Amino acid sequence: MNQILKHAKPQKSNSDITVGLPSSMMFYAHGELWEDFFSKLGCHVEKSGPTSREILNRGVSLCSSEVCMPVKVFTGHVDALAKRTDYVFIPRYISMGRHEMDCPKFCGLPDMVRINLHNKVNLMEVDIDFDKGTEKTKASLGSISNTLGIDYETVKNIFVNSVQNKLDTDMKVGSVEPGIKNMPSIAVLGHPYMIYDEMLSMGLISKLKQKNFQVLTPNSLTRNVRRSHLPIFKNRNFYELGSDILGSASAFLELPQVKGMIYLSPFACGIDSLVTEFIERHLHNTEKNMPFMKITVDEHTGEAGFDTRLEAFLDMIED
Amino acid sequence: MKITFPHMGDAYISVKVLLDELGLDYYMPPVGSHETMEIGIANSPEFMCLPFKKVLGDFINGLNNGADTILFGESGGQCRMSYYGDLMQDILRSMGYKFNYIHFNFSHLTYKEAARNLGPFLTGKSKLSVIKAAVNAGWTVFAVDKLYALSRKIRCREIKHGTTDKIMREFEQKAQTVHGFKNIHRALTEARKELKHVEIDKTFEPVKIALVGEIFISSDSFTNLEIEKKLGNMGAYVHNTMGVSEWIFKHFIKYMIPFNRRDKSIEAAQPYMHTDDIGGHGIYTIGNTELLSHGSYDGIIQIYPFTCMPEIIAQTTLGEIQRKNGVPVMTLILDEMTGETGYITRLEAFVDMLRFQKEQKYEEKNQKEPIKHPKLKHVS
Amino acid sequence: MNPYYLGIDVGSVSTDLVVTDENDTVIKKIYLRTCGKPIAALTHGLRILRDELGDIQISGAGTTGSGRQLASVIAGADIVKNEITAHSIASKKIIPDVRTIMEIGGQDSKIIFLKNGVVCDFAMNTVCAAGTGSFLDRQAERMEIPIEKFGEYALRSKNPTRIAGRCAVFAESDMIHKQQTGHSEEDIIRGLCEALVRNYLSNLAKGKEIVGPVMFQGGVAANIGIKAAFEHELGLKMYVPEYYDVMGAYGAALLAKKKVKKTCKPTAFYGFENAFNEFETRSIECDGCSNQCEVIEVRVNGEVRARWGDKCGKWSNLSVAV
Repeated sequence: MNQILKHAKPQKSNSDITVGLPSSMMFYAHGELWEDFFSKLGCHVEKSGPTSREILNRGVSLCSSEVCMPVKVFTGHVDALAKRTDYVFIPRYISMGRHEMDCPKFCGLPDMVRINLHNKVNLMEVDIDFDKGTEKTKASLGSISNTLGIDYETVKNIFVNSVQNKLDTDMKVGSVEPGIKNMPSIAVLGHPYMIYDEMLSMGLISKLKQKNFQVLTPNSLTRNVRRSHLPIFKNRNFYELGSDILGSASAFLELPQVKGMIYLSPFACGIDSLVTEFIERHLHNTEKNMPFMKITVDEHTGEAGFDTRLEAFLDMIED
Repeated sequence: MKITFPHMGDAYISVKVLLDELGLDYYMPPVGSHETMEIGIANSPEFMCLPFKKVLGDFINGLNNGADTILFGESGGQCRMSYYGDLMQDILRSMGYKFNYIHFNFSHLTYKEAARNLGPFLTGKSKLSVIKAAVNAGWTVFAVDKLYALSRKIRCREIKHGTTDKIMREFEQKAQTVHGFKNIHRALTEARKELKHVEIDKTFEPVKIALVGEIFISSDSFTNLEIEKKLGNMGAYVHNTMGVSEWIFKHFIKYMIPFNRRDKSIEAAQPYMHTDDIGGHGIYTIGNTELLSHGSYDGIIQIYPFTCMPEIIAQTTLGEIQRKNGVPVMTLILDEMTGETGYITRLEAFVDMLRFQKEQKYEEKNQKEPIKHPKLKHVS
Repeated sequence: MNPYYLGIDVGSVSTDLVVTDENDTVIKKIYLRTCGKPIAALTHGLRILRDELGDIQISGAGTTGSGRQLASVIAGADIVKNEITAHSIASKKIIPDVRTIMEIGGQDSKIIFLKNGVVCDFAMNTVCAAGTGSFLDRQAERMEIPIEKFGEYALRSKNPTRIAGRCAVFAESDMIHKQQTGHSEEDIIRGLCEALVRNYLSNLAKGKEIVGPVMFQGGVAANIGIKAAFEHELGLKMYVPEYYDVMGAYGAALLAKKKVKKTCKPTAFYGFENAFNEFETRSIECDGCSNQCEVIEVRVNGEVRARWGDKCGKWSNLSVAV
């Protein structure tokens, strides 16, 4: 990154600098944080918007076939932003907190994107490795301050402030969000960039709502609840998203209105191969007979087959 | 108390030395057994990686054969291997097995932890004998690696096809059946001697291939369908960047050295990956590919199990390295469904390609002496 | 007596034989369906050659394809080579400065890149059926259109339908869906051709630069619809060689000639008469060790000719001659 930023001296004032935020991957978890951060730095923020067929196809054509669908889609989003922004911002998530880490693909995400776009994109990266310490993060904030021509202290303060806001909302202590109603519900599990992306999820959440189900996701619970319900890996290193999903699944078991769980997983996801197995084992060990369905999707999945499976699952629950 | 342990390439030889020297009772699952592997596959989640399935198969085999204690070493970090133990214990217990599970985390192994884990085994044994056993086992790791490295040098140059394979096969059979450091040591020495006496064609210049990738598959000849042997018999010299000794060194010995310099291959990976760790050995795959594709090798083969996260990231950068350095890189992805025929065709075509390129380079240099034409060997 | 050379390509779908003369001209080619019986197909082919060419002198024989090992045991070969090398040798003979070779066969497909006449990169796809000839055959059969007419249908389409799905199963279900929503046969067939080309390129040629001259071979090269779809997608002309369907066998014949010229040894070819022998194969599961290798044994008139498949050499060393 240093190389890229070194010879990219600011020629414009900050308000003229457009920073692109790809609306994919961890944007679904931290999009507001980064938008807040760059707006407060005085930059213009441009988002790539919901995943379109075009973005998906573009991503698929740019990446090697082995990478998972979310990375392909993300690459499509960056490609869409590359031409209309000065920088595209890609955080390198290594760890979001003590004893937590992220999927290895997040660690290599900026690099994979840069190579897949043949270096034809200006990236702004920031290393997030809160398990190990803040050294790397400080270094990357330093380069951001250089690029934008804002003094380091200001950048750091705004960063700390934005992150703190996010953590405050996340860390709210409480049992279950007050918003959860007492009506037949389906828990939708999976990485946020799978379940909230209308395109990748084939509109799963809207389809469930149409059928008059309340949809619960890991985000319906506070972080505190998700962590305290972890059946395993308490106070041990595990994938952050994995812990979120595992803890949520176990917490949803205690809610009587939850009638079934659907796990939406991208084809050949490494994290999900572990997490779904742990969930199924955990469900098996409890008295409750909770219907659980894992749907695997990739860029080749046809919507007709998807809908058939979903309908069959819901019919089974209603019986 | 009867111990069992999983296989990873030739690591069993040193593990046997350790357990024999400590005088512990153990059962070793068969080396390279399809049956054991299939049991592992049948009881593993579909998208778990191949090493997991193989290790689980070994455990089940061990427990079926009277073992009650499982010994396993895992490394930390973002790779799924850190969670092998958790899931395997769960799977095995739900299958009705009862056992002790002892694992070593090689990424931060302390003497204290090792002593605590091994404590129950070592009662009544002198400190000196324990240290001796550990030193002998450690020596064996490196000696075995050296022997295999020698076999790779000889195999591609041997005149009578199959000589090296025969010596190595006999060594492996001995290593699996004999006990104690002394006997293993003898088998190693004999094999080394025999290898040195193999008649080789000294003028033959093999194509040189470096093997990079996921460490379990790279070092386990059963799961990688004997890639070293196959390439060697096609007349290619293979350098495996991922031996068992490499693993022991990176995860164990390096932590004991006070001045810890940044690894050369991590350094070399930086232009492609602005970070030191992408889980597993992904960063080494990138770094080694970069380091070894500046003329010292004619081609690079990356090998990894299907769905391996770190290697998929690394693979993205290899195309870029190939474009930059002009040295061909081929990626092979293995799972339980990999067919051997297609695999051999790819290897053979790769070796052919490198050889033609090499010949062309020589011709361009206007060398009067054309390089000796390689032996034509049947690949079976 | 003029020397001739024999090339044999035993693939999973077809078994091809080619006889060339001293000038590398193809004097006879045979394309047979393997139908899961490679030995029967091969001996059948050899018998046809003998009947049609009479008693000519074969000075060298080469085998290639996924059944190359078996073919060399049955027919006797001077050289056993993989398909990539065989195809590149054959293509170079026809267009010396060829840069890209695309091959789509019945069960697999490959792409080969050359630079200065030497292979510099290649990729093979043997897993996915959607990008191969068998899949097209199946769809033609389902739509009740002769496969030979498939290309014509595609060229008549003005408004191709988009068929989704990399995997054969999904592509087929999407096609059925499109048929049910009333798209014309022409548009669907052209859509299918485009999907096959798209999948081929994204599976095998992703991130690689395709430079002309491009050669297109393999059974599917006969399909003008696919050829047109490739040319449209790449903006390059695709050359389809005269013997597009037996290029592997042609390459094997060329390699055999090169080999015998170099070694000056008499050919290992058993002769055409050999094809009238009785061949028998069986597999033995060895229980000598935990490997449990499956050993294949070939007998000719009751006598063991070869064994292979064992890791330790215990069985293959017993063989008389390989």
